Amino acid sequence: MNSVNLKFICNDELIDTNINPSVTVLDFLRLEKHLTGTKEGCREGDCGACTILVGEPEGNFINYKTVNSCLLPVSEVNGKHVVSVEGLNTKGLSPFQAALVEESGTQCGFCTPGFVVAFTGFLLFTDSFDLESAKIALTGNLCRCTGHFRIIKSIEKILKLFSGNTAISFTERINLLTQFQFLPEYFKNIPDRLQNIQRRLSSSEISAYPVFVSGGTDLFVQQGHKLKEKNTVFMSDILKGQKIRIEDNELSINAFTTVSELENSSIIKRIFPSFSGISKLFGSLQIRNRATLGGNINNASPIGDMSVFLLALNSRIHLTDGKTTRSLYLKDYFKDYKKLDRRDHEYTLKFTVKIPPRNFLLNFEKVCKRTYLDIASVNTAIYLETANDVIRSANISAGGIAPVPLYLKESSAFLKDRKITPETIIELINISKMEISPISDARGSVEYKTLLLGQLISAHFLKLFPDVIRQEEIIC
Amino acid sequence: MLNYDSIRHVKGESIFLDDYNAPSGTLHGAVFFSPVAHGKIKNIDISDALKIPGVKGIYTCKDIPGVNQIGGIIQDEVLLAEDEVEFIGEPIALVVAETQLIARNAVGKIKFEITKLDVITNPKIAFEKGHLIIPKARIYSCGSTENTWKNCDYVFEGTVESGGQEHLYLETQASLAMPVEGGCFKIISSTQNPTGVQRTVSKVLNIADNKVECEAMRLGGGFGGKEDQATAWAVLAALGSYKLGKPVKIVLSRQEDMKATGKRHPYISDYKIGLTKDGKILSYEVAFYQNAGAAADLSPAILDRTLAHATGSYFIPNVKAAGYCCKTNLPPNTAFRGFGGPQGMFVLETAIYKAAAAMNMPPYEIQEKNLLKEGEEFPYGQKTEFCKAVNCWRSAKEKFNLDSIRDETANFNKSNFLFKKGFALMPICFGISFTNTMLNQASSLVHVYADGSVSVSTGAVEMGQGVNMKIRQVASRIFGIGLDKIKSETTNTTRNANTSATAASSGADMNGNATRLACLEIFKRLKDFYIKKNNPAADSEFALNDGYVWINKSKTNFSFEKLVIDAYKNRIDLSAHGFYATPKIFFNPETNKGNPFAYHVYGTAIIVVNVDCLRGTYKIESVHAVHDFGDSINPAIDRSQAEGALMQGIGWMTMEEIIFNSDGKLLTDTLSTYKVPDMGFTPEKIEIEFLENKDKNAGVFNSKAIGEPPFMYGIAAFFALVNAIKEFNPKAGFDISSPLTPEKVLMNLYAK
Repeated sequence: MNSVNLKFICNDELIDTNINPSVTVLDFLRLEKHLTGTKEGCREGDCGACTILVGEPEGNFINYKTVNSCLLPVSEVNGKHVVSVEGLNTKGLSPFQAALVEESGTQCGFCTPGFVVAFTGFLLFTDSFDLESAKIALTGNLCRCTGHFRIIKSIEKILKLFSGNTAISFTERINLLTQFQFLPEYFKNIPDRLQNIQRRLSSSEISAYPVFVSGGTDLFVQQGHKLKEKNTVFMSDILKGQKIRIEDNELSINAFTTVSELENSSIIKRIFPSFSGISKLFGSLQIRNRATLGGNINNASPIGDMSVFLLALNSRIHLTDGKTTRSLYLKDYFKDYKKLDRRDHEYTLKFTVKIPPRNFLLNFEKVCKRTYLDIASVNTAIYLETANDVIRSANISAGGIAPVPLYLKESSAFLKDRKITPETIIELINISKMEISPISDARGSVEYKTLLLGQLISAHFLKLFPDVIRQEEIIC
Repeated sequence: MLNYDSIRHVKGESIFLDDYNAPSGTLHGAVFFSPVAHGKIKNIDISDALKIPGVKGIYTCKDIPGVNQIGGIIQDEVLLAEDEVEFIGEPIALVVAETQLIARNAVGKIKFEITKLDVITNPKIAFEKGHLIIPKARIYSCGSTENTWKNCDYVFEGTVESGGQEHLYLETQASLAMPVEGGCFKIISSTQNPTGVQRTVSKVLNIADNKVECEAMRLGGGFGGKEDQATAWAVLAALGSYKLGKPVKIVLSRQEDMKATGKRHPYISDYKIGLTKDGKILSYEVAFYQNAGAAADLSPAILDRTLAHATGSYFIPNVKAAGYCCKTNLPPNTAFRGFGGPQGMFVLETAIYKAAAAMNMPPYEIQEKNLLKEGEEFPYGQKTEFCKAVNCWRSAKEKFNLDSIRDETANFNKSNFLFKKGFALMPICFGISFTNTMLNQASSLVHVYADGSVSVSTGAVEMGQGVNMKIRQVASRIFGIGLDKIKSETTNTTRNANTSATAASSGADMNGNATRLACLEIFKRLKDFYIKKNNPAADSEFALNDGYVWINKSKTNFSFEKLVIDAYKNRIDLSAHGFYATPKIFFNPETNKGNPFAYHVYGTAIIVVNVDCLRGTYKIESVHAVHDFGDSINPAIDRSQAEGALMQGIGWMTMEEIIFNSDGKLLTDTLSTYKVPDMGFTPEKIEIEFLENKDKNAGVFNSKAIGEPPFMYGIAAFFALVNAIKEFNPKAGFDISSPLTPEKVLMNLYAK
C-alpha cells in the first residue's frame, strides 16, 4: 500500500504527513485529527453532513469551494486549505450560526455543521447574494428534522446584510467576512501561508492495473475504502493545463474539467449560454465542484447527465494510453451497459465539440423524484439547427431508456429537413419509442419511462418553439 | 425562548455517539446480515473470515450466554438467526475486529449456505395464508354498521394502499459497549429507549438489570426509528464486549441501516363508507392489512393506534374498524412519527374524496360537516374534551381565506393548460399518550448543588425535539432562576430507572411533569427552611423569582444561591426524585373501550400544489395551518417541530418511495435511490397559526404534545395533487396508492 507525503493547511494548522492518498478527507478529519464536527451521514455525497471547504491558491487569492469530504481523497488537498466547521468557529457565534439558533434552524444538530460550512462557503465564493443562488449552493445538504423552512429563514436574515453586494474582490471579501465574524482572523494569512508550501511533485507514471481517479464522486461511493489497496492514479496529476479552450473552430474540454468549471467558464457562457441553468440539475454544488466530465462519461451510467448533454452536441472523445492517442464520436464509445470502447491503460484526454452556428438551439430536460440532487428517471437533450421553421440538422439523446446513454439515431435522422409541426413531433415521439429499451427499476417502470420520454420530447419543442407549437396540439 | 442547546450544534460541538472519545483499545463490530429474505440455514463458515489479521472474534447465536431474544411486545425476534432467516438484513453473525474496516472486510469473507423458502412481501397474501403476528383481528367498533347501510343515501367501497417510509435520521444506528468491573457493562447507545436496551442486554447476557447501565447522550434524529430498533446493535456490541472483555463499538453504514432496520408500515386497506345525501357520514367500515415485516416489534401497538385514528377528526356514529397484523419477509416495521395514526386517517380521507366526487360535492364540505364536536364519542369510548376540531377548521378557513384560495386556483386552472393547481384541507385529531397505559410513567431526578446550580436527569432522550430545553424551562420556572443555572443531563438508566421510551410525543409532557414534581418537592423544603429561619408573618406568601426569594410579592435580599447554601449548611436535602403517572387514563384491550388518551391535539391545514402536467412533476406552493399548541412553553421549538413534522408528512405522501422487489430485496437502500424533501422542495410559504388556549390538560403547564400530530397535515398534499390531476384528466381515479410520486402523477395525468 502506497503512502505519499502531503502538505496542506487544515483549519489553522499546517499538516505535513505521510498518508495513503486514497484516505478520504472525512476519515482524516475524524479519525486522525479528531475533528468530529464533520459528520458521516451517507458516504455517498447525498446528505452534505460532511461538507467542508477546500481552498486552492489561484494567483494571490484562494478559490474556496464546498465539497463532500466523504468522497474526497486526501491527496487532492495537497497544497490547499481544508476548512471544517471547527475552522470556521470564532469565539462567539458567526452571524449565520446565530441566525440558525434564533430561527430554530437546527433541531438534532447532526446536519447543522454541514449547513454552516456550505453557507459560509457560499458567502466566500458567490457573486450573487440572493436566496435562489444560496438555495442552489445548499442543494447538497439535507436536514431531516426542520423541513428546511427555518434554515431558509436563517439564510434570508444573513442575505439582507449583503444586499447590494455583487462582485467583491477576494481581499475585500475576507476582510468583510472576518470583520462580521463569519470567519476567524487567520483566514487573512492563508494566501501567504499556502504560498510557502511546497506542492507535491507528481509522477505521471502509470502502474499496472491502474484505477484512474478523476473527481471520485462515484468511484468513492462504489469502492470507498477498497481504493486504499489499489494502484490509484489521480487524473489531477496527469491532466494539467488549460481546461477549456477553442482550437481549430472546435471547443476542446480537458477531461478533468469539473461541471462547476464548465458552468463558470466564459467560453462556455458565450457558446452555450443556457448551460449554467441546465447544470444546476446535475448533482449538488458539492458534487459539481468535484465531478469531472471524464469521470461522468467513463462511469458509463445509462443516465449520466453530462453524457446525454455531450451526445446531443455530437461530441468526440479523445483517448490515450500515454503513447498514442485516438478519437471517436461519443455515441460510438458507449457499447453496452457499463461497457465502453476503452482499452486497458487508456484514459480520456479531452472532449471536442464543433462550434455551433449562430442559429442553433439547445434544450435539456430531466425528470426525477426531486428536482435537485437526484438521478433522472429520464433525461434528454436536443440540438437543432433550423431555418424558417425547418430543421437543418438535429441530434437528440436520452438517458434512462437503454443500457447506455443513447444517441437517438433514427429520431435525429428523421428530423432532418422537417418542418416544425405538431405532426412532426408526434411522429418523432413514435420513432423514438422504437429506438429505446427501458427496464423497470427503482427509477420507474417501462411504461413510465416510455411515456416520459415522449413528454420530454414535447417539452423540448414547446420550450424552443413556443410561437410555432401550441400545447394543446401535441398533448393527447 | 430560544433553544440554547442549539449553540453547540451550530459550532459542531455537540457530541453524538460516533464522536464520543471511546476508550483506547476499543474494538469495532460489523454484522453479517442475511442476504436472502427467507430460508433455512444449512451452514455458516467463518474460518476464512477468522484468518484475517485484526479479527478478534466472530459470534453467532451459539455464543449467546443468555436468551437469544430481543422481542419487545411479543418474544418473536432473535438477536442472531438460528436455523431460519426471515428477512434480508437479519443479523446472522457479529464480527469484532481492531478497526471497522477490518470487521467489514471479514464480514465479506463469511460463507453461507441456505435453502431458500417462499418469500411474502404483500400483507394481504400473508393474511390469506394465515401468516399473522397476532392471530385474531383487532376490532374497534361503535353503533352498528350492518344495520346502517340501508339508511345511507350513498355507499362507496374501495381499496387503497399507503407506502412505507424510511426514517432517515441523519445519524445512523450506533452503540458502544464497555465492560465495567464486577461483570457489569456500560452501554452508550443512540436509542430512544435506554431502559429497553438495558433490559435486553441483561436478558441476552444473562445478568441482572442492575449490572447494565445504558446511556443515551443525544440522538441525531430518531422519529421512532430508534425506539425498538436501536436495541439490536447495542446488544450486539454488549455481546462482543462480554466475549472479549473490551469496549466494542458498532456504527451502521447508511446502506446497512436502510437495509436492516424496519420502517413505517405499509398498509393495504379496504373501506366502505355510507353517507346521507347532504354529506353526513353515517357508517364506516375499514379493514387494515398492516405489513408488519418478519417480527412483531411494535406492530400490534401501532395497529391499535391506527384503529383508534381510523375516524380521524370526524364523528361517525357507526364504525367497524378491523386490523390485521400481517407477517411478511421484510425487516420488522416499527414506530415512525404518527405510529399508525397517519395510515388510519389516510384511508378515511380517500373514502371521503371518492364520495365527494360521486356526490358532486367539494370534499371539504363533507369534511366540515362531520368534524368532531365537544362531548362526542370516539369508537374507543373516550369522549372529546376541550374539542378544537371545528375551531381550528373555521379559523383556518377564515384566517387564510379559503374562498380566495379556491377562486385563485380555479382562475389559474382556467388560464393554464399544462399547469394545474390543486388545494386540499386536512383536519387532524391525534390522541396523546402511549396506547399501552403502563408506559405512561416517567421520573426525574433533580439535584440542586450547593452553589445553586441545578442538574436534572429524566428518562427523556434528546433527539432534536428540544426536550432538554423544555425540561430546563420547567425547573427554571419553579426555582425562579435563569436557564444558565440549569443543566439537562444525558439519559441514563442508573440515574432514572424503568423509564419508558421517549416516544408518542409525550417526552416533554411526562418527563416535564416529573421534573415539575421533583422541583416542587425541593421548592417546598426550601420554603419551609426559609420560613422557619426567617419567621415572616404567618400568612406570608413565599415565592422564588428572578433568582431571589420574594415575600408577599416583594423581593428580599436572599438570593437563590444564598438560600441554597444556607439550606445545605442546615442539612436540608437538596435532591428530589419526581414521579409522574399520566392521570385518568385506562383502556380495556378485551373490549377495546376506555379512556386511552390524556387529551387530543387538533388542527387544520390547507395545502396548495402546482402540477406540471407535461412532465408530471410538482411543487408544494403553500401550507397554511391553524394548530392547537395548548399553552406552549416554547413556541420557537414547537413551531420548528410542527414544520419538520409537516414536511416529513408531505414526504411520506409524495416522493418518499420504498421499493422492495418480489425477493424481499430493498431497491431503495441508498440516499441516491430514496429521496426525501430537500430545500428546493420546501414550500415558499409555510404559515402556522397558533391556536393558543389555556385549557387544563395533562401537558406540562398546559402545553400540548407537538412531535407527531402535524405530520398528518402532509395528507393534504396528496389530495391537493389528486385534485390538480383531476383538473387535467377527469378520468383519473381516486384509489391512488401513496406515495404520489412524479411517476404516479404522470401515469394518472395520462390514464385513459
